[in-house]
Amino acid sequence: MADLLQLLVSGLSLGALYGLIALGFVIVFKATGILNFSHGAMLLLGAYVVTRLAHVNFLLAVLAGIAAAVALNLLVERVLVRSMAGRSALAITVMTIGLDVVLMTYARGEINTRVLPMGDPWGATMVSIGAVDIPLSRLVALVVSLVVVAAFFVWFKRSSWGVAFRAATERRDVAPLMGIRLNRLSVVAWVLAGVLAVIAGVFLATFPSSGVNVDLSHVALRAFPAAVIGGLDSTHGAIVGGLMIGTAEILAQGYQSHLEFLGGGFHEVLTYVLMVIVLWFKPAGLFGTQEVNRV
Amino acid sequence: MSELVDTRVAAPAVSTPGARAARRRLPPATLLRGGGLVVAAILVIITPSIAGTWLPVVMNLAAFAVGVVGFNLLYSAGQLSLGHAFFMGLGGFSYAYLSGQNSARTDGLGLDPLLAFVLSALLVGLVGLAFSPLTSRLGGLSLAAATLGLVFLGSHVFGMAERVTGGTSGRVLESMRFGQYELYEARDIWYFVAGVAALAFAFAALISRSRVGLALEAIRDGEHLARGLGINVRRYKAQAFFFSSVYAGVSGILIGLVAGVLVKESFTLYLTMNILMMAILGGASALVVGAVVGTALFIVLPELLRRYGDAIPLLAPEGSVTGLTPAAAATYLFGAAIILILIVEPDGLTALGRRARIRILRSRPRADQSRS
Repeated sequence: MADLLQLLVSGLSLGALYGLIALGFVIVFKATGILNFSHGAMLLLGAYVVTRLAHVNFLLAVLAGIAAAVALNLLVERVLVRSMAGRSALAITVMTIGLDVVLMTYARGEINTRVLPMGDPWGATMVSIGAVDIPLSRLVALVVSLVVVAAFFVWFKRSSWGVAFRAATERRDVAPLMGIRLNRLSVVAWVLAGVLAVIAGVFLATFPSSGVNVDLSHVALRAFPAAVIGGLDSTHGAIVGGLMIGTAEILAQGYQSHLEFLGGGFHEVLTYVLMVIVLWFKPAGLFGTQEVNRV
Repeated sequence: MSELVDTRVAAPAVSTPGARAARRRLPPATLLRGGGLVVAAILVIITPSIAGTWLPVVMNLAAFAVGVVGFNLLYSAGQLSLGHAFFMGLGGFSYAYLSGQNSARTDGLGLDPLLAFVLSALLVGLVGLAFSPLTSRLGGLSLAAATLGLVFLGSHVFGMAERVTGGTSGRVLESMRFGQYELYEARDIWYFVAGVAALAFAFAALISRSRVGLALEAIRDGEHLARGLGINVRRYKAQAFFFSSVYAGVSGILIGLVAGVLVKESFTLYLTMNILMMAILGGASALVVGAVVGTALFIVLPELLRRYGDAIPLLAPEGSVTGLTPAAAATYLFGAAIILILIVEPDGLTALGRRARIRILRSRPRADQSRS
């Protein structure tokens, strides 16, 4: 029982991080209608900047990492995405794949096969809450992501930006007529995606994981199904999807000995299995809007 | 839509007196196409004699181009499939299993290689069809998401089926055999690969001009409009996915036959990304020419950098840990090229070529008349 509780807490913590990453996918999708495949590379580069500066001051390093990712995302939005305005969402999506290739080649050249320690103040400290022993870094990750998510939803539901976002998703063609500037929404979405990616990236590389290596972008890609499961245009769907796959992944890892017939390392592909199952029955995801079209 | 070779090669034929007389009877496009086919056939036949150390590169080119055509079939219908690596691996390993022998490390059924080839291509197609409830309902981007999952699931399955894939050290493939005649020499393998590729290209050109091709074009231009016109969108999408997976499977087998060995680590997301880059470079709307041009660039350029990289000052030697290796340089170039191409000319290099040709022909009034 204590085992299960412990796994659930770690699962929720990992799931909250997946939720943050998925939220980044979703807001860019809502604002621009594209899937941003360079998200994982942004996350990796942001986390890499943090590891390089962490010896000065961890908090400053995190801010610098966020600034770097935001600046890069702004550049991408202003220069690349903007110059493709009016093209099909498919073409812009493929462009982000090209961008991912470039960024990942750079990252691979910089990081190589090294594993860079995050240099965070929590280290490998464990805390006990009742019967549950959990790494402090996981607990901090859970708290931070919950705070970030809460702040996001307050902003999203209360501010005029949030209203604009929801209006733009509902009717892309009518929103501009109501005075909503889709351009600005797109900028805000890319900036937010950068912030969320780096926060998640930092915690994905802290204990119990050993640090930042090139595969961190693949971990980010594992969060992609979270966005799909929740529904690509649903913000709360992203969080629910993230929590779902995070918990499932940690549970599958914890009870690996019972799942041997599925092969070693099954927990790493479980998220994709879940995604395929959900898509099979609900093509728009759990909370996504089913497309209704008039010809 | 699909001239089979670079028309610059065939262009002089049009201006000779004999061809000018023939033009009265045949439209120039048909002549160009015919001439192109003849040139292509001659090139295929003389390749082993002139290619030298480049022969393995050219063989790889043909093998990959088949997979890229499969990608284009879907992409030109507005469907982005990222599952190619999975279907290629599935084809390659099914062939290995069906034609292979039992050994200490691997299992095999020991079927005739030719039969195994056909069966595995069909198997891949059937697996593609099995996913059709999923793939035919999803549009462009969700399809990308779902098929991305297939690649990771595929890697896992290949890892589990060690007796089929040979585990981390890979599996040696049985050579192709016609009766007693075993295709072992590079020259023989080339003729087989080129023959299969030519058939695949011709069939793709036929598909794109058939009812299916027209329906897919309509679906790309507007799925709901197509449905309104009475096109069974889900059926045609399922068909496109079927053909696309068969092409991917055949490509996987050909790659295995060229290399002689298949390793499961080759069939990861990177392979899918590479296929996608080849397709976009060449231009997915030019089904076959685009695939050949894009694949040629993608496969030949890194090889050029690897062989003659010493002459370029910025490059670090191959295999070095720091600095810009030839492979990294090529990847940078391709990634940047993809971004540029999508911004400037979404139809890829073949469309740039087409544009240039039209401009040149316009500047010569007589040639302009012959085009109309």
